[in-house]
Amino acid sequence: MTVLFGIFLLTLMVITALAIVHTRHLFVAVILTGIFSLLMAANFFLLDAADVALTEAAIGAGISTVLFLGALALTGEHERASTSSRLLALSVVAVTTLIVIYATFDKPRFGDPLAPVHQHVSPWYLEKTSEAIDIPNVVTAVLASFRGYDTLGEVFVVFTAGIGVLFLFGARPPQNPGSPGKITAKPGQGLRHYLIPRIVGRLLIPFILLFGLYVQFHGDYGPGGGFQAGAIIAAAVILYALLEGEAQALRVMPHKLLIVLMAGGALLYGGVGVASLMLGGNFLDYSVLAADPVVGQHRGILLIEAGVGITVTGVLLSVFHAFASRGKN
Amino acid sequence: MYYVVTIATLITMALALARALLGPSVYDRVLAANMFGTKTVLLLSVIAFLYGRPDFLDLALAYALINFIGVLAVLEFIRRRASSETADNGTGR
Amino acid sequence: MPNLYTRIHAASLTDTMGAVLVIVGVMLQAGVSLAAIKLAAILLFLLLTSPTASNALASAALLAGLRPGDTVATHEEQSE
Repeated sequence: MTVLFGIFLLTLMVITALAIVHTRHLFVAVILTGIFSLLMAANFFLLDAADVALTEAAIGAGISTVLFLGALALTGEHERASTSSRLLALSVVAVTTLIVIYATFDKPRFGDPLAPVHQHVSPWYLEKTSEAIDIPNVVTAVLASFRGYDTLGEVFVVFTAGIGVLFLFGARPPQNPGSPGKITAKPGQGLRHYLIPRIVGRLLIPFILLFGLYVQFHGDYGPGGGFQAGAIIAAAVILYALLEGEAQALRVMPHKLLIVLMAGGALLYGGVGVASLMLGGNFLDYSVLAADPVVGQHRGILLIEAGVGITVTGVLLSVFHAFASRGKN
Repeated sequence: MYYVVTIATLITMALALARALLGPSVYDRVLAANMFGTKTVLLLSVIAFLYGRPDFLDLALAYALINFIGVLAVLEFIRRRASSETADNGTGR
Repeated sequence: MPNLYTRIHAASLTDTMGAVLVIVGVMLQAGVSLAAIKLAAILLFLLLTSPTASNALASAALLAGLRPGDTVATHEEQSE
């Protein structure tokens, strides 16, 4: 039955993807991309991958839509017609698709216990988690402790993306000699005059923040962790910025604080690794952080997940403010 | 019994997708996307019980909170576009 | 469904009543447990945010000039 639901959702995804490619109105493409992310999150959920589904839903359907709309506000809304011939591109894509479909004929069956992916390292992780780390969520154990070095790389990738966006947006746009100050006053208001969304939104913001903190610290026991929590907390601040205007949101969380958050989270993660080096273990070996190795692992996972959440929040908010505070000149 | 609810919700999602693809104006599509989000929350709640994992309800809760933000972003975008048009043209409506 | 505003009304029916029925049904299956409290929270947030989203969408459409009387075809003739 799972297979039927999965096939249905994948068919809907193919239809949505074809519609995204076909349309020339970019606003429509952004909305359809949000629907595509939701379908993907539901698909991940059917495959029992709850952490990934939460991340995909929080980032793909919430924050990506806001960022794309912010970019659309700065550029035009219609895609220019392409002038070159598309036959070469179409033939390359068709050949690659046929090769990939042929390659999937050799894959093991879905859920086969003898498949290679279930053989070598996975049973070891499943056994060792209850002895060495003792938390119920194996995904967090693998992500934070067994493969902590890879997650360090991920945090630095997110940090670098934030730096890249800030460099690109740091260049001042050329000043328009026509109307100097009139236009920049308008976009900073936000939805202040629309009372119903404003009141309900302001009512919800503390709950979203609280839920973000819950997801951050509950990652040991259920789906959750740093990436999801960072996205949810950033979504709460973005909601505040949409309702009150991003000038007000910048007064609450200024640029300097966001840059400190961006760098501080990555620094915290690396710092835990260096601290475990100085206490006598390997880099990112959390067992030496306390007298009892299991307690040491718990502390290490807590600290690095906090680092991940802080960096993701800082980067998403910096990117949002970079788009939103750049009015049309 | 859970299967019937799941199938009904999936059919609703397919209909919402049809409206998102067909809708003549963009607001029809935003309406369809919002409805799609709400149905996803319901689908996640039911499937969490279908698979006997009630601790997956956190996803549905996160999604119910985040879906709201997309529609408000659309409203802000349209408000900005309307205000920049009247500032450029100078003609009221 | 001739008009955007009638479609908003039709869609909001599933968002409120449909959500209440499905979630209360699942809550009855869950008994008294943490899952029931989470489901009650989901229901509360859905009931708060869906009507607000419909209101915001109708405000946006009205701001862009789509009047409730006309169908979409006449609106696109006016603005293009």
